[in-house]
Amino acid sequence: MRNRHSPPLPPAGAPVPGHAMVAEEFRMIKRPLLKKLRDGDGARCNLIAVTSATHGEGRSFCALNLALSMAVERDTTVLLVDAHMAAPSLPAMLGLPDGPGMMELLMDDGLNAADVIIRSSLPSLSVLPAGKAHHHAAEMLASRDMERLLTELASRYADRVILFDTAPLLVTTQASVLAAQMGQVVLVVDAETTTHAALAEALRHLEPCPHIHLVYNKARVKPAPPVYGAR
Amino acid sequence: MEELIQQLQTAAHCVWKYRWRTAAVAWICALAGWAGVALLPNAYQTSARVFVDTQGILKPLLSGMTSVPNVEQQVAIMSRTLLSRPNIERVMRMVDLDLRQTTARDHEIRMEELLSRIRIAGTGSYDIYTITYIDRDPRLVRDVVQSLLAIFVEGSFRGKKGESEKAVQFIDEQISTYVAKLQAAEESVKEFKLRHNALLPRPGQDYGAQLQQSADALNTARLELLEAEQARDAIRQQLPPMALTAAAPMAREPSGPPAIDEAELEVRIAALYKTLDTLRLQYTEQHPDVIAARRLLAQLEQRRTDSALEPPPANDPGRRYSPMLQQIKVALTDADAKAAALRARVRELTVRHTRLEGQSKAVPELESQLAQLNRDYQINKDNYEKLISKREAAKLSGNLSSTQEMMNFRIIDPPTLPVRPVSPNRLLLNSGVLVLALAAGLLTALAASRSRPHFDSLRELRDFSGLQVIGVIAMHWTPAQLQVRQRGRAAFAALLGALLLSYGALMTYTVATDGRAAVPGLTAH
Repeated sequence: MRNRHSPPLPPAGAPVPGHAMVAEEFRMIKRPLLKKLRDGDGARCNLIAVTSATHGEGRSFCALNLALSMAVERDTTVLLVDAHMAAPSLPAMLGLPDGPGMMELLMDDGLNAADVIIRSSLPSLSVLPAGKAHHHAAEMLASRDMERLLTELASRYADRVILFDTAPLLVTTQASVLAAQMGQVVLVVDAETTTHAALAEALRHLEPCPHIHLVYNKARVKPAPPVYGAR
Repeated sequence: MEELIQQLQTAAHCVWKYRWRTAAVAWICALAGWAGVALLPNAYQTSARVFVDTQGILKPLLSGMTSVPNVEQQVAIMSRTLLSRPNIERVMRMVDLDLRQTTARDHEIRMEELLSRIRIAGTGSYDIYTITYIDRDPRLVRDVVQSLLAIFVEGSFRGKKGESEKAVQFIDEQISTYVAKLQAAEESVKEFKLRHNALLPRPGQDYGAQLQQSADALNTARLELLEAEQARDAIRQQLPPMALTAAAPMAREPSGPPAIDEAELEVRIAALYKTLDTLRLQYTEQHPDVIAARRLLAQLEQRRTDSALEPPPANDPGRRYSPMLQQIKVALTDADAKAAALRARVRELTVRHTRLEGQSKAVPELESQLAQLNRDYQINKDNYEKLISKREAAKLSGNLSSTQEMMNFRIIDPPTLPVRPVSPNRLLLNSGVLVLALAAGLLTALAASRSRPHFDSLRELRDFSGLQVIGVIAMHWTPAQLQVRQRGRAAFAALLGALLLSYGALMTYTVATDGRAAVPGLTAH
């Protein structure tokens, strides 16, 4: 919940110690993901889902910050896809206007991906909103159209990383359906609220996925001295 | 060490995570506990201390005269038997407790209750006894202890008196039987003495001594007789020469006592024979001297023959009037008389001695019988005297036990009306409730965190999932969240503070009311 209200990274050039820390943390996270991606074992390693067991574990926060962190890589462009159909949180975080999104893309064959994708102020970061909520969203995501869309998105640019901000695994089936088609899955674990049972259940949902990475969120760690993180 | 600290930190974090639950449980427990403590009935206790002085001055004074009652033991038994059913019933009547109980069962229950709450303790070395009672009503508590004390003190004066009276009675009976026995013995001794009076020895002399004495007396008498006879003979021997020497100067009185003349003649004749023999050794028969001697001898023998033929002259006492002779004659007569008296004495003593010797078989028998009688009498008399003295001792002993001097009760602490209840210790209980409430809160938090375990450390996550953890993101607070968090902390602190404050207030109230009742009206009797 808290992270949902967290502001995105502020405009570059005004680093705050806290933000520098966050940036450093995500730098550490993105490194193994990018390594896997560049090693290229598996066709869809550039499709990365960021998910969690339940609500409020910092899924969207992680997805957004990870996207921002990856966007500053020299040779990578990032497409952040809001795949949380039921209650998308990215629009609120980013202040996106209501508009067509992935749902429309899947339903309307005539619509092109480029029409829906929103470009950000960072040249290498673009966002694909969720679109209008649909009660058959899970089926949509499992459909052949989705398959095709993913292939298209994944293969259009070789240096593109597509990050999916998905729904919670234990709340809807959308996330597991989506995760099954991903190359890598980042599972956010909340230090305070995720229980052992929830994590075990979430991992069971993710069984088909080849690469699962855990991110330990909201950890009680002493903030590192700002000297190291600040730049 | 690091592990331990980490675990402690983890535990603390768990508690912090469930702090609201902790606070709620603590509050509920504390309120419930304090209410319970307030509802506890007050118990009042009072105690009386009695010093039983058994070392009175009478005891050493009378210790040799009579059997001093064992007062310590008596007191100990009293203190043990004080809590008997009749005594408790008396106490209940004294404090009007029996009026409150209507049924017999209630009565029983109440009595059991009383029995279980009364404590009597005595110190070992000093005779100080403490009577303690605990109950809800302070007045009742005091009255019960007062009554018990009264029973305790009063009980000491009964007990021994009847006992000693019984003893005296028994001794009296014994004495009367001994009196009868003694009289019978005296009677038989008297009869015996009357019957065998002659044969009985004088006091201090038995038969042997008597026999010895009579033999001695006989011997002495005989000796004296012998002496007297000897003395008489000696006097008598002196008499004839006295008569001759008295006759010679009387110019040849022809009628001299012939006996004396004869004797002289004999002497002269014998002397002449000697002279003649001497002459005949020197001379012949014709020597004139021999012839002259023969003639003289013949004359003398002639004379002797004549005097023998001549009848003796009459023994006339006054024949010779020589005073010397008279005196000798008197002495002779005296000696004769004495000898005769002694002879009679010897005769009499001999008779007695013979008689004593004749009794030699009968007397020891009698003596032993008498000794037997005397012994029986003596034994009876001894016992009788002992009994008399014992009776006096028993009376004294009875008086001793009933007197107050022997067992002096000094009430050191009289039972007072207790002001403060001894229990419950509300201060302690309330504090305990607080501690328990806090502990319950903490336990709840720990239990909650155990029942729904979270990943409190990175290691835990790693161990649980077995997957790679690619990153750790610290908690980042937005200002709004920080504010909420601050507010939450403040609220939590306020909650805890309020708990502690109410605890403090409760303690203050308890102290202020002397712990009588935490909530007035709740503990009405």
